Amino acid sequence: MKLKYIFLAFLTLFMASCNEEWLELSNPNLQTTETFWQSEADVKAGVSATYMGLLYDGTWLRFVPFALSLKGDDIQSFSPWRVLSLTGKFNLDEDPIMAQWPWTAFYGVINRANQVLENIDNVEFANQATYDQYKGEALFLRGLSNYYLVSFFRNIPLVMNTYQSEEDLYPEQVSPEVAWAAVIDDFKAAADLLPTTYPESDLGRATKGAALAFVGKSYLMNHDYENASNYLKQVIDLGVYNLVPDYADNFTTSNENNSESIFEIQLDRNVGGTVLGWVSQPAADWSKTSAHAITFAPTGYGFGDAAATRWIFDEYMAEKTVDGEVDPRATISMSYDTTACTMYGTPFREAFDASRWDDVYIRKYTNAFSTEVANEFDWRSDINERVMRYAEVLMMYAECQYELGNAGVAGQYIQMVRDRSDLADISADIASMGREEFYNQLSHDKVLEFAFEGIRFEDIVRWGWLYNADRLQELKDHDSEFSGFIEGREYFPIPPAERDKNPNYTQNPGWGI
Amino acid sequence: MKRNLTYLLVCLFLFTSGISFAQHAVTGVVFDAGSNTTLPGVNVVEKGTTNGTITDVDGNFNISVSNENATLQFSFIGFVAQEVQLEGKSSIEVQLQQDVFGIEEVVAIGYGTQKKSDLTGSISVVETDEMAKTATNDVSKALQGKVAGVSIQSSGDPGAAPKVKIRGITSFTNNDPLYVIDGVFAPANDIPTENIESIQVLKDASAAAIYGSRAANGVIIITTKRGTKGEMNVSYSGYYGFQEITERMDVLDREQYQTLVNESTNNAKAYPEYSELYIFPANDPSSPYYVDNVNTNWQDELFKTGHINNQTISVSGGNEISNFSMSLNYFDQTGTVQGNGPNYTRYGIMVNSDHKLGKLKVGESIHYTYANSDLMSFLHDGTMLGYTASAIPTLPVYDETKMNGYSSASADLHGAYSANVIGMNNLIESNTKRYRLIGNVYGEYEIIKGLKYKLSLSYERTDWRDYHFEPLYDLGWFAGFSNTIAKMDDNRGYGYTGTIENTLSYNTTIDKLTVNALVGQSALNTFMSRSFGHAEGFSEPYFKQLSNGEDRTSSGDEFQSRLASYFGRVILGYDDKYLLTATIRRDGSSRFSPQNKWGNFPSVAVAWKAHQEDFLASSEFISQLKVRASYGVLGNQNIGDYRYQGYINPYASYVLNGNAVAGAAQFIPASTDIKWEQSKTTNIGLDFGLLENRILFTTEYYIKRVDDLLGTIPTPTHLGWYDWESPVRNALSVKNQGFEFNATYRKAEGEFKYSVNANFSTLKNEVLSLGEGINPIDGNWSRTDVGTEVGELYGYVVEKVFQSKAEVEALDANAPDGLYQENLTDAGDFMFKDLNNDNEITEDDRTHIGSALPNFYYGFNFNAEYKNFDITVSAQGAAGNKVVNAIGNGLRAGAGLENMSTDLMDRWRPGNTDTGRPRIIRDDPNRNTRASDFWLEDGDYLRFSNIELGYTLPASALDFLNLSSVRLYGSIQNAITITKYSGYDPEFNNDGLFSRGTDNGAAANKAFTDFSGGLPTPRTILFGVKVGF
Repeated sequence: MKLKYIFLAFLTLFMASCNEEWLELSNPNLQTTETFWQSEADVKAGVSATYMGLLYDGTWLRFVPFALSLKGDDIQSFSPWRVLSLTGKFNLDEDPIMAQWPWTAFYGVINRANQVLENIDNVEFANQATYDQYKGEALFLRGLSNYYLVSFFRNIPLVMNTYQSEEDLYPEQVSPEVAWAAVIDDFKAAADLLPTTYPESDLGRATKGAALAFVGKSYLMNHDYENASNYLKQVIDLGVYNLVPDYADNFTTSNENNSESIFEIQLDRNVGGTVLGWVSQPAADWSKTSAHAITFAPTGYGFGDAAATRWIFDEYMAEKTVDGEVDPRATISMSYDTTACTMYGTPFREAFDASRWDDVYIRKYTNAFSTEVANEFDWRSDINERVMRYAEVLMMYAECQYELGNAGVAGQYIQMVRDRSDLADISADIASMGREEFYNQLSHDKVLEFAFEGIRFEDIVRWGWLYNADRLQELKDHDSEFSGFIEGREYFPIPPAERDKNPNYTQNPGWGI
Repeated sequence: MKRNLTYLLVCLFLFTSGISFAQHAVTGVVFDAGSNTTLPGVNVVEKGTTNGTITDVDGNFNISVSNENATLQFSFIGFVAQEVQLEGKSSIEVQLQQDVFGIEEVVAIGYGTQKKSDLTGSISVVETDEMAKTATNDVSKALQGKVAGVSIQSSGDPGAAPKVKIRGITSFTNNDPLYVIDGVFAPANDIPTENIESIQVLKDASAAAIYGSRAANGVIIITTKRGTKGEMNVSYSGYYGFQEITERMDVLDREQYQTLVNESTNNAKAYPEYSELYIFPANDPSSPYYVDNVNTNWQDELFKTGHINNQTISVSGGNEISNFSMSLNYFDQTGTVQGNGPNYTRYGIMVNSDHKLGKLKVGESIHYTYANSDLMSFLHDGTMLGYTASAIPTLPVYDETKMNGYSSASADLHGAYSANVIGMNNLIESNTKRYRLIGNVYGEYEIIKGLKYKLSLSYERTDWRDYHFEPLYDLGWFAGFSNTIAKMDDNRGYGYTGTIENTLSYNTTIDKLTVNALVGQSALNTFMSRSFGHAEGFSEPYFKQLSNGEDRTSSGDEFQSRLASYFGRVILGYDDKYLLTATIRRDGSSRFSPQNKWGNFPSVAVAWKAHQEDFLASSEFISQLKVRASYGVLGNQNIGDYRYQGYINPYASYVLNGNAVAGAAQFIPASTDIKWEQSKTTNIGLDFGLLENRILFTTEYYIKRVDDLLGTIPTPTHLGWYDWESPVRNALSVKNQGFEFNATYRKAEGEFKYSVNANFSTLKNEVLSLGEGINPIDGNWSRTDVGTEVGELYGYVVEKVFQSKAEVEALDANAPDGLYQENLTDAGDFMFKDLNNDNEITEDDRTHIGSALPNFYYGFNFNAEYKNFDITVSAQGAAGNKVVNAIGNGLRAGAGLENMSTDLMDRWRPGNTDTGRPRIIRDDPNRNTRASDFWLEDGDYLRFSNIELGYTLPASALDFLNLSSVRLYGSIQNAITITKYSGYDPEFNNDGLFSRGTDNGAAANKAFTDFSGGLPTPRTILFGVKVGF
């Protein structure tokens, strides 16, 4: 009978062990939200996580440069990956990730910014400047995300808080005016809080100049030239920006965060791991690099998913420098059959067989200039992405001044950019140009300065060229992909999967998906 | 040999035998009443004692009993037990009746057993003899077509674990049944079928209720073989077979391919948007690079004959005090494709024993397996089979001038993606090793007569290593088809589940009332720890260890969950006519927030054995009639650990000035308010036995309703998470209802015996509600909505093929913005139906276009024996579902530069306009390939899964060989499949949920999830032998 008692003792023991506490398990892997947002360091980390949202597949790891640039007339894509080749044809097919990934990724940045903004006031800061900086950075990054969302999609839901209740899951879109107002408010608030410069260890953080430049650009996009001019002038008057003498310094790993760079996304091969980490939750081994280079580098060195149009090549060749040379930007923007264009250390004619000597490839933001990198096939380029350059501020300011009736000032500012490339001084000519002539000149100077940088299509839309039969024909002549243009498709569709999940969304005009 | 082994094992186990003093010697012989042949191996026990023996090869026995009037009990599996009172006789002859219905069979019901005739719930018992005839590593595959209401989908990958669903889909998180192996909660796929004694499938809530919170998807109880009293049994069983994938996609040869791909390009070039397209040199007869000397059939190059090999040695035996059963198993299966994988090798050992010491009984079950799998390696989205079928015929497999000797498609010459799949599977290594222990130890003590206390300790532990190596290679120009950095992964981990169970049971009979009561408590703890190592930058010669990579990264995590439970059950029987089972279980789970931790799961079932009533008892015709009804509530908590709290992801670092800046924020939402999911099943059953149970059938009807379904309902992504990271919610309500029918007819005429079994089940699935604010859920070509099935197919409806541009323009003229369909829609394109009559095609013109769920499943099994020969034919099938043949549709798209289906020889083109197919055109600007009814195929099929012929050696030969039994057999598995479905396998693997109608060849069982594709079930020809020593 002794055994019986032993068993009964066991029974009691095990029964007793199964109390409520036994069922309380805490996650050994991660900190809970309840214990976070307690210190300055937590807020700082929150701000970093917000910046890190710029390194997603839907942002600058891959899709933003393509979503911005592929629709331009300077670029065309025959990629067998239709996500890329159809973008410039104003078609998104059945795989609309060109719209979906930026949508999700930018809202991810907004969510992180909102976390910072909702929690920052609960934390004690040792000094006000730190508080201002972090809050300003979060506001800037939210403004930047909404800037791209409204530019890409036009009719977007405005998400200014984190998930609180199920109601937040199914918002309605706001009008473009409301969205733009929110963008401008965030950038303005950021400009008031952010410092003008940072110590070297913090280079790459959002500055007052970056916020002001985007306020200006946002106004310009809405044809509010007066306000645009005002804010762009404030950037110029900060006195901290200059055009770098070597145009190439804007597109390579050397001389990053230079005096021309107003906002630049920071990439580094030597930090983090090697896993690309396209989407979802970041892991410790995610790389801090982009797939921009492998996508645009010509086949043999990358995927060759896009190439320069013949028109942009001709445009570069059309105007020679004062010394009769080819525009120095040509061999920095494009790889073509010239001795100046070595391909990863190999002369162009050795890099490609004769059948490809007539081709013109994209060189900007690839590592073709490098003699240390053999090709782009590890996917990991760490050329910082220059999101806003001082040259663009000058050009935008020129456009505003022209619209405000100061063609002479416009000419001076356009000429500042031309001067770097040793092009003839035409400021006096510009001062007397009529509207169409001026915009032809501005188009010429901007496209040569910013080819493949994702600015061209914004200009085309803003200048109304898509809605003018003659201009549209010109675009089709530059790039046959424009034959696919249907009015409304200058904006992306609301991603079909988002509409499927939220019936409150209305599809953008021109799209049947 | 036989003797030596016996002595050895007796010594090994140090058995002591208690022999009683006997006074009266009895000899006898036992016959099978049906065939009148003698029965070896029958248990003979003197009633009320532990004194017993078994019959020898010729059915003879001799036993010494305590007195002349003793009663002997005769029992043998498959026969009705019989008692014979000696009445002074010293020589007797006994006729045992075959138990055709298995009416006396004892069935495992969870924490106990019950006579099959007394069951009140829905429990299917699988005939293990039949099951063991299927050549597979996984017993669940052998259930295919054997049990009504159970559907099994499996891939042909060696070592694959089939997907088992009992009574349809009622969960969005996990539809796997709960497996209980010798009392241990553990996966079934490492248990050799030869070791299995019995399998019970618990289908309704009443039957499964004792497992409460984890039983919503049904329970499969697997009991392995235990020793029986008597002489030691040594047996060997083995088979060896050849496996081959017989299905092929009909694709174009080199010349046809070049013609069509050029036509597709030229069709597009006619439009300005595509004016820059050109004919690739390899396909351009005027080019010096034109390919005219290669014509590769990639499928023929890829597929090869695989082998399957299974060897088992078992030893069992026992005496009055102890019994034991041991086995060693070796299973080896090589894949049916060229390259490093898939291959699967498994070594298994089993040791079971039970010991009695007075009122104390102790025992254990130990299963240990080591499984080594090489996985098929393919490094891209999509599947290996899809890429093989669409690989271009203008490229050879091998090319000595290229890296590693494999050819590589060129962006300049071929343009096609065309991965060299064969090269990839030869160069990349993916291997996974698993070491799994499944063990149970129990002690049972009879406190007073009928009252037993049992302590059961169970432990399942798996250790694993996943290994992956990618050398440098160049197997295609497209992303991922070439590798410029050699890299490897080395992932290791272990997990265990430990369970302690205390049960107290009481059995008694009070007059006509039998009582069987049980109370119990259990505590379960599950833990998993993983670490991941990655290294890259290996140089040749490769030494494939993490240390030799230039860049190394590592990561890891841990997970734990607990479940505390209390349960009780009472089974009452009155007069052997009326039966009642009532069960309740209360579970607490660590996965829910403190206020939602506990759930109660009650059930009740009643049965009436009408054949015991006077009015039927004398019936010659009706031998059994039982009516059953049950209702119960079960739960589900399969949501992953720690989900009810929000977490900070600390890996979101940014980089400034060459230094990482720590970043952290919340990336995925908490699932705060989640609670148990509840499934409520009502089950009505009728068991009929006619003509002395020669005809038996069981029919059942059930309604299973699940409320508060736990699921990750994809939400819009504007709140910062990707839709698959959406919070888990108790949302949907889903109803499954079905009718199950199982009929058996058995007949023995002299030496000819046969049985026919047929089963049939229907399944209707309906979403009752989606939950507050939740919108229809989209899967691949599917939309799940209120009133639809889960994963019901969704898309456009094709009206016709446009015959002229004028037809398109006429529609455009009426369209609100001047465009009916697409910009470049033209003659030869599909016209989609304007379902909402707004004169344009938008996504609002999609509708539900078909069910991905078969209307019914059926199975058919025929067994016959004549003299020493036996034959088995098993077949199963399903009907009424539509399938998206993703690979086939890809081949019929005609929009890219890959190879195409021969069906496209009938494409629309000038001169062949009277065809239902659209034109082929690069990029498919009309999106002819969008989800539409045109691309759906019927999924109906009938598959002869096994045709087996066996021969049992006669007694004379056995005497000569000094063996107790020998059966030789040969079989063809998956011999014939009758179907119109054009894919590789109508039993394709799928997610079983929102995309379950899609056959894209993806496999379920892969360690490197994105890297391999599934294989169809091969045809197997095998030969085997079973020997009893």
